[in-house]
Amino acid sequence: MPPGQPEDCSPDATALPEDPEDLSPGTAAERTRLAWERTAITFGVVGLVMLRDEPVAGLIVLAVTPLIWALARYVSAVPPPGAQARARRLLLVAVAVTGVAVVAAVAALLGHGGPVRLP
Amino acid sequence: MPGGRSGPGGKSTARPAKRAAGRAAAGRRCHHWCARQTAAWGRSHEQPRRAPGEPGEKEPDIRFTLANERTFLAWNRTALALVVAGLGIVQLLPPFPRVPWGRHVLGIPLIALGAIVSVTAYLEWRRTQTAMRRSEPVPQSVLPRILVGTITGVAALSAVVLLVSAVR
Repeated sequence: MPPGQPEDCSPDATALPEDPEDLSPGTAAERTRLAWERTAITFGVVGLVMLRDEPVAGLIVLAVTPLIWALARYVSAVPPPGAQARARRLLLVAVAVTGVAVVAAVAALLGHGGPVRLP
Repeated sequence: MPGGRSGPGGKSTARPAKRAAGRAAAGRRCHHWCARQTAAWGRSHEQPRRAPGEPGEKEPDIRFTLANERTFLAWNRTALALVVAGLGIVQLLPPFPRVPWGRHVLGIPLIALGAIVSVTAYLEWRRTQTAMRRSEPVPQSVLPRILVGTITGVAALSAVVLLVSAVR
């Protein structure tokens, strides 16, 4: 539609699109933002679980949670981030999750009668 | 398999004009923040940005990029759940009688699987994104196989630990 022409918002103005997402393409971004927020919440839950027996490890993981939350805000930025910025952001999440796994493995090996004993 | 919608499959290049028209129409009906977003995407869709990689590559439809991103995030939540499961086994279960390291034998592979799933999810995301940029078929993910293999192994290991704990 050329700019300046009045918008036609009547329900039967356009045929139903083949892909239902075409009706409201913003939902893809919204779903993605929700997925980011779920991931941040999961980080928080992991931190709280770790806090129970390993306070230091739990605090480290809890400190990462706001970072993931900030990335969730960044995803809904307008205009959307470029390809390289997106890749860096996802790499950060993968590194954070791997770091959490390493911290958890160290906590599991050192505590609870684990095979590794500190001198 | 975690994640909401699957990847774009082979329909990324199908009926682009009709899809763009539908999207533009839907964007006009949308009255909140997504309208601005949709307008920004519309521009990037009409004039595809060149990818930073090789010549001839172009950025796919933003919705496929977002679907790929959601799949990556879902795998990372799975990874975090595996880490929590491993920690729970080590920290919360009472020790197995006569098998002092039983909890570690079961928990640590799950934590390690969490790290592997996270790193592999990133590599898969990159592979899928590159395939979409080149308009090639999306490669099959190895993650379900890794997950099934390790979980089956841990299940077999728990049976062994329980048997040894009961018999000895």
